[in-house]
Amino acid sequence: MNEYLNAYLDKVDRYLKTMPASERADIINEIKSEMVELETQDQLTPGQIIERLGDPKELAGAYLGESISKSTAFSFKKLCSVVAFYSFAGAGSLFVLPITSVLGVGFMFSGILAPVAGLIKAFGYLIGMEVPWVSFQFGGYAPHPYLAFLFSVIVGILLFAAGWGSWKITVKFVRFITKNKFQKSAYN
Amino acid sequence: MNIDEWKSQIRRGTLEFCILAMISNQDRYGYEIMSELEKWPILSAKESTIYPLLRRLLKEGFLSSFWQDSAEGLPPRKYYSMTENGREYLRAMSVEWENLINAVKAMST
Repeated sequence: MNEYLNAYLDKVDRYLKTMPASERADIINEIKSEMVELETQDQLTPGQIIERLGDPKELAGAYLGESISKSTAFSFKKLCSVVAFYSFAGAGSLFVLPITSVLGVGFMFSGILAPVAGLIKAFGYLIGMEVPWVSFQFGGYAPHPYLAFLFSVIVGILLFAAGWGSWKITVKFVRFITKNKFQKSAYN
Repeated sequence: MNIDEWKSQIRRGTLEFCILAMISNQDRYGYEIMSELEKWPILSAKESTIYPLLRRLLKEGFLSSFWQDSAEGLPPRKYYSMTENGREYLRAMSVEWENLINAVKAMST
């Protein structure tokens, strides 16, 4: 087939790229068949055929216009928004939720554990007992057990606050997703 | 006076009726339908009208299609044939068409 006609078909094919491949191939084959009929039966030149068929964009647009009626255009839009939403929520569930929820629980647990450990150390010192499995150290500096208890309470509060913050983010994120989901399904 | 806009409005619904009527008599392929319509200036339409219209009728289940080899050296042709739904649709259209013709006659005479 003539290269101009093939180039024309390629253009139409490109404009139809939102359609399924099988349907696109069927359309292109039918236009190709029409071209050959025009060439052999009507004795038209490739230039005349292209002029007759008109702008490839318009021809492709006519197919898209007939196949996407108003209701399916709406559902196509809906599909796009659904895909966009789920890929966002999906990525969020993949990264945000595990991190914030694990951090939240971990920090809060540590926040409670630290002052408890400090208390054990201080109490052990009070009754004259060494507790080797609890130690408070900033690099090489190990404070007096009483002071260590004070530090452990401060660190515990900080850790607990960090955990609480992460937990809040988790809850807000979950709420954000479900709210969006509800709104989307309420509209459609 | 420009009557083209009105003609294209008239043509829009009429084409669907004519194409279905044509295919109900025998299986047809696109170029054949185009050539048949071209015999009547009021009905003659571009490829970008007819082919997408055929595709819509196909999708709506009024037509079915099949590819068939034509003469040697030529690519296969896509034939359209009537479905039972299509026949029913055409029957209903014929009734409305009669109503329309009678109404137009009654108004203009």
